[in-house]
Amino acid sequence: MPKLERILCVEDDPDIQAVIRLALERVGGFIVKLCMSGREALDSVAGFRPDLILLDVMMPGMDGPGTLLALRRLPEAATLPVLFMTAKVQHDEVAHFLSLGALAVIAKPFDPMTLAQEIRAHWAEKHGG
Amino acid sequence: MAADFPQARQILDNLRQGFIAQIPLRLAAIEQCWIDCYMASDPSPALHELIRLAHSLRGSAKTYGLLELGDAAGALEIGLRPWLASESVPEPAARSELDGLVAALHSTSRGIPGSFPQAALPPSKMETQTTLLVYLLEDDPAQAALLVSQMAHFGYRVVAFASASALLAEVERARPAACILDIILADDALAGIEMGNQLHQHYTTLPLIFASVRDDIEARLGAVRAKGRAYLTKPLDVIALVEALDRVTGRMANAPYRILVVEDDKSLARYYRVLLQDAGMESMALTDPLHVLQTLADFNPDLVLLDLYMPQCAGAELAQVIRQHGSHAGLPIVFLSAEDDPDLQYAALRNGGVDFLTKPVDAKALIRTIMVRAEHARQMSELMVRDGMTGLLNHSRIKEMLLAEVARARRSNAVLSVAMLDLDHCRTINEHYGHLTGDRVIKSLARLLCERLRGSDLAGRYSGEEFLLLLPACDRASALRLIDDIRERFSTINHCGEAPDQIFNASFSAGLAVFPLDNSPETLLLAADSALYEAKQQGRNRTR
Repeated sequence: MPKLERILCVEDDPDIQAVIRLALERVGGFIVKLCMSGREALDSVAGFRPDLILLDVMMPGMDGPGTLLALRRLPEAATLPVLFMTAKVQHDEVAHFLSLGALAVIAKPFDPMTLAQEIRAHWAEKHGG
Repeated sequence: MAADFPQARQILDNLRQGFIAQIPLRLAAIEQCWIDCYMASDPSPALHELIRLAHSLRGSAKTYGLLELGDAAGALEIGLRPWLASESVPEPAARSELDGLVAALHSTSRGIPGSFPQAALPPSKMETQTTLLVYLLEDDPAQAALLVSQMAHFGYRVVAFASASALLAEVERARPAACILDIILADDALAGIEMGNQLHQHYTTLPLIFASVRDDIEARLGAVRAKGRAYLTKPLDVIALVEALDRVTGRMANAPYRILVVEDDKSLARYYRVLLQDAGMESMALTDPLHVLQTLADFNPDLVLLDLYMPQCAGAELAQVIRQHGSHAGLPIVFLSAEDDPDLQYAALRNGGVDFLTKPVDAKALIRTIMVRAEHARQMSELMVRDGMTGLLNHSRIKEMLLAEVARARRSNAVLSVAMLDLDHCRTINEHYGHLTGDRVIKSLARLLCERLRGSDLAGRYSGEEFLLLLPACDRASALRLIDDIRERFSTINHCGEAPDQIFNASFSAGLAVFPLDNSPETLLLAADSALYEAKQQGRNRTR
């Protein structure tokens, strides 16, 4: 199973950014790049070369689904696994996000102590580990 | 990097505290937006902003486990959305409902402990000067009593025991910070050493200091083998004992390193600050780099963490501005950047940086680099600013600090007291008891000053026997009380000359000046000096 090391996160709220950073860098041991917007994510993905992208759904400007579509048009990100983060986790909503091409949906608010674990589990599942 | 759970929880807690402290600000912003929605001719921008604020507050509050607050914010957000869709201002009924939702937001926030306006991160624990308990094994009651009274001035509460068994029993009951053991007890020439061995066996971390008239190799070896951390000969020099105790108890430990974080990304800045706090370092974030000079003067950091690419100015340029000042010559600057081109990194270092960390930065690497650099810088700057003999600030440094403190007092409209102290009859002491003894008297005054002054006070050795004290936020009455207290204590300290029967007391005279009554560094010094002269004229051992 390939190693999961580098994660690109897109989250516009500075408070949540701080907690994500804690959850992924400190607890998870990943190398993390935080972007404040979909636009920034598109600009950063080639340089940062992430293994996985964590995408907030509700953002001003380009929202999560919009960012995902734009990412898929970039050669570096066409097949990168993407996880959505959202407070909307009803069955039909989750199904909708998955239909857009996301690997999984992570519920907000998340537990910073277990977020890294949750992400690794999705990664392992994807790679049949 | 292995998962670091307990530390991560602590960091999360700190982030949470930071969020809670900001709640009043966020609520004030929501309140203002709410008013704007009704006051503005076009409510649409305020409405969008209000919904965004409510949405963001909901998300963050829930992330930090403040569910009630999160729900209240969520309710407000949901309540506002129909307004967004429609073209008209809400009916009075709907409007009062929304009023109610904003009020609910305020009342849920009041129920959260810690949510009152204060600095964004909780302040780190200040070194509080507590009195340390020390046990003394000494069978001569006169000597014991003398030591007990002398050591009290320096923050050590000494309890004397005449017998080894009594001491051992008490150590069991209440562990002291250290033990001072006389070697000769009654007829037993090595009783103290045996006691030391016993103590060390049961309490391996308890520091032992041996004191004796014996100065022979047998006694000294015995002390070493009993793991004694110091050996002092009698008659005991109080200052030497105090210094030994300071050392073995780690009492005068270093103040935490202060790190200035210059980073325009607020969330990153907050994250670094939390990591630094976790590692026991104090920090301050500067998101507008153009304020750096004032901040350096106010905060006086041990190290600057500088982002290379900032919108207002390049980190490298800022570093050069800092280097233009001779007073910041030793201040280490560590650059932070996503830049991984080694040539550009090298160019940045040539501009005044001492190290380079590539973003995204590993938490451990960040802390380690900063710790090491700050430690080196501290050691270097201590050498440059401290007087070798007393450990107080040297003449040039205390004068620099006088300028800085006056400027600070002026800016914050605060009061600053300045005191000039001068040892009485210093020449007589040197002539009568010798210069070595004279030096010891000066050292004891310096040590007493360290003991009795507050954390924010500054003490410098102005000249051979003159000291300059800076007491911020201290009015004349309080300064008088403080200095007189020190003066009285100092006058009761017994100093020992070269010969065993030479025991004497010393005193000092002091002159006070207060800012803003005297409103410049020069006039303050002059006024303190005149007051000191008056004190001497009126009989010495007093404060004017």
